[in-house]
This record gives sequence, C-alpha cells and structure tokens, in this order.
Amino acid sequence: MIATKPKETQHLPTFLHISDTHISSDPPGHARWAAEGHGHPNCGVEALLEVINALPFEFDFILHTGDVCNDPVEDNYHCARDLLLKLPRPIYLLPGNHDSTEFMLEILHDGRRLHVLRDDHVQRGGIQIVTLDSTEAGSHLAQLAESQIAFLRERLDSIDGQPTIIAMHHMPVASGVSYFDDKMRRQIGDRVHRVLKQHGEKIAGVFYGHVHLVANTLRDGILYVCCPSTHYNNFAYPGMPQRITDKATPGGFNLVMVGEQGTFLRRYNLPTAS
Amino acid sequence: MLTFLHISDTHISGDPDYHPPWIPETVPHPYRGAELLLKTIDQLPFEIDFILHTGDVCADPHEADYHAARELLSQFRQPVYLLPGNHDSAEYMEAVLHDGVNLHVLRDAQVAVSGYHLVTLDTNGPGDAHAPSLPDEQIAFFAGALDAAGDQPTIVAMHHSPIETGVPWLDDHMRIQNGDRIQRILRAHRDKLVGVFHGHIHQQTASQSDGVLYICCPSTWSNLSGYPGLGDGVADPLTPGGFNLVMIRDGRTFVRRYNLPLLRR
Repeated sequence: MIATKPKETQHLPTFLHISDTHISSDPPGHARWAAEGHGHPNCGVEALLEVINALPFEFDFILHTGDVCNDPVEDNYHCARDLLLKLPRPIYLLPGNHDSTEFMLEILHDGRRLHVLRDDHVQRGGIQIVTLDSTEAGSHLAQLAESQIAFLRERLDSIDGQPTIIAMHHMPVASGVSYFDDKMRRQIGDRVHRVLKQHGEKIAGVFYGHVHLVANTLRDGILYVCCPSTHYNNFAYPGMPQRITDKATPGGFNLVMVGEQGTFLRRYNLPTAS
Repeated sequence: MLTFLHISDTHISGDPDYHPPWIPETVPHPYRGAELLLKTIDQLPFEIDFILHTGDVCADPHEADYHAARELLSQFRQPVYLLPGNHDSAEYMEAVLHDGVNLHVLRDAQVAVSGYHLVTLDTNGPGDAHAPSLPDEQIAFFAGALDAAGDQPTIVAMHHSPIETGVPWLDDHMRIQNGDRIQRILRAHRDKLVGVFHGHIHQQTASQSDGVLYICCPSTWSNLSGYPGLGDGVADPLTPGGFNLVMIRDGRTFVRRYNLPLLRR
C-alpha cells in the first residue's frame, strides 16, 4: 500500500440529495398505509435522520427535490418541520406534486435552516443552484411555462463558467421506460434540455425526484440524477406496463461532491424495517 | 438501442469456508450473492442483449475458484463479457471460463456488440494491485481502439477507475494512478461514449467529468464506503448486492440500480 497522505483536493460543496419523503401526520397505525402496502412514510424519514446524523463527514447543505409531504394538508407541514429540523444542515426544499406550495412557504420556510425555493437561484460555496417549480396546481403532471424556461436561460447566461446545479421535482429527461416518459414527463418535453445543452460545461448535474427510482442518465454530456423516495420505490425496465413497487430498493440519499474535475455521486442506502 | 446489465466483483470462491478476516462477520459466502444475482436476472421480465462483468470474478487466483465460477456463470442465458480484476488470474479466466460462445473473457480488447463498439482494458498493470499504473503500450492500445471506433457509439469497461472523486482513499489507493492519461483520451472521444463502466471500489457511484459518465457497480458480496476525508477501506453493511440496468436509447444512457435483498450470514 502507498503511504496515506490525504490530499487537499479543491472541492466545491458537498451536499446530500434527498427526495419524496411524503411525510404525514397520520398516526402510525392508520389504515391507509396498510392498504397502500408501503408502511408509514415517516418510518423512512426517521431512518434517514438516523443515518444522516451519524455520517462521519461534513457536508454543506441538503437538497430536497419535492413531495416533502404526502398530502397538501397543514398538519403534515408542521410534522415535516419538526422532522426536518432534526437534520444538521440547511435544507433547500422544492415543491412536488403532492405538496402545497403555500403551506411550504408559510410553515417550512424560515430563511435560515429551511429554504423553500420555487423558480429561484442561490449562490453557495462557489456554485450556483437554480431551481424550477415544475408543479401545476391541481395536477400531478409536470408543467413548465415559457417564462420559466426563459428564467433558466437567463440564469445560465448570467454566470461565467461557474458550476451550476439544476433542481426540479419532475423528471426532465426520458428514461426509455414509456410508463415514466409518457405518463410522468409530459409537458416538460425537451425544452429544459435544449437550454442546458448550450451550457453543458457549466452543468454539474440536474437533480430530480418524483419517479421514485435510483437512476442516472447521461444525455449530451449532461448528468441527470434521480434520488429515490424514503417511502417506497419503483421498478423501471423496458416495456414495463404500469407502475410496479420494488420492495428490494431501500430508501436512501445521494452524497454529491462537486469538484473542479466534475461531479461524484455515491448512493447511501437506509436500513429497512424487518 | 441497447439493453445490458452491469455486474461486478462477485469474488466467487470454490472454498465452502471462504471468509477472509477483513470481511465483516455478518457477510455470507460470496457464492450466495452470486446465486441470488443469477436467479434475479433469470427472472427479469425483459430482454437483455448481454451482461458485462467488470472484474474480480473470483476471490483468489486459484483454478478451483474458476471452476466454481464457470458452473454459475454458464447458467446465464445471455452472453457474458468478463474482465479480469486484481483478485483474478487472467490466465485461469481464459483457460477455464472463456468459451467464445456464452462466456467471453476480454483483456485489452475491442469487440462489436449489437451495433456498439466495446473497448476493454485489463487494468492489472504494474505497481500496487489496488492502484496500478498502466504502461505506455496499453495507453496506446486504448487510444487506438477509440480511434478505430470511428463514429460508432462506444462502451468502455475496466476493473479500476481512472478518475479522481475527491475521496482520498478512492483516489490514492484504489484508482489507476496514471488515469489522467486515460481520461484525456476519453475526453477527446466523449461525443460517442455511452459511458465508462468499472468495479473495484464495491459501492454504487456515478461521476460526470468533462461530459463523460463513469459508473461503478457494487459487489454482490461485501460493500465499502466512500466519503470526504475517508483515508482507508471501511465496510458499508447497508449496501446490498445487485446490478445496474443500462438502457441506451436515442443517444441517452439511462442507468437504473437493481438491489438484491441484503444477505446476512
């Protein structure tokens, strides 16, 4: 073995990507969880808190790509606030199709530990974070207005070579699995990608959730990263006819290290009850 | 359009009592993980063009281990392309595993597979077995193979990774030490690269560097950690075995992780 000499690499931020926590204030024994067959979603969140709080390294922030709560009900956001404040670092939270953006802003956002972002941008540790709110009131489908695409373009035009991460709830890139591509990606189309492609060398990664998968996609040199849910996860394979729960995929998160040389992701799995 | 599975680091042993002292007590014999992998892949409800194994097929470079590996690997219904890892004997792999029909052992090689160009490197170069340096001839072979691919979409596979991650243990003790030379060649050909697939570090990682995708598939046996400041190998008992489903469609590479149930002894 070569002698250990930890090298000082010029790392930009290290962050954790989490998604689709689907927090609920319903009591643990509530009949709906048994009926849905997934267990209570807060169990996954408790496991997430335990593992993140025991990590043996420092990180800068946590990015949550939406579906913070399972239903757009006020009590859920009070419950979410109590749970999320047990995490050790600031959290940037995006709304998902299960969320109430209003309750997120009113109950979660404090501008210190919890930051709710819609169409927004943040500078942090030498990188730019650009977020897009891909939700549409009253619908589970993705929706991005032309003004949002223009906002993305303007943010990318305005910076000079600075690494940028893009975050949104819905899947912005086709997977090849028609169930996800046709049913869950509709209306985002390729409009995001066309903008990103012109700025490929600045894009450290595009982070999303929604489809409850451990999946990475490369398209034209741009890395798209899906973080799965802590609640339940899905299969994805050629010809998959409908959504199918994959009980062998545990909840978890991605460790993301952005550096001069590119982006490194490592998957962390949570312990499963049983 | 191509669909393949990426597997790695099966560490198959023919010794029923195999359990080296540095492996956690709870980790079962590597044959169990490999068997579960075979059973799971056999039951997948979709067609697969081939399986890519990025090395450490066997636990030790012993002939008996390769006979055990052959018994298992020959049951896959799809062709399997196998690369040698630092725990392997490339000679026994060629003598015992390679049949040119279902099992294909590839060292420094370029082959046409289902309309794609597959370029492989045997990264067991001189120096530290875990962090080798590749000689000039191999670098020249690699550059030539990528040139020869022309405009064909190209898959690259090797056991060790050539890129820096920011994790000291991975970069200083587990990486191809002159990997920057490999990386420069990859960068020059990035427009046709589907991805670079590797193993060795026993964890689920994905990196993007200069628009090139690097994917590691964990082991089906025992897995390891990777995080800022980590200077040594540390077990990760929460990463189960599994494989990556790789779907190439319209110039996109989509990689989806399949986990196997976590095995305990």
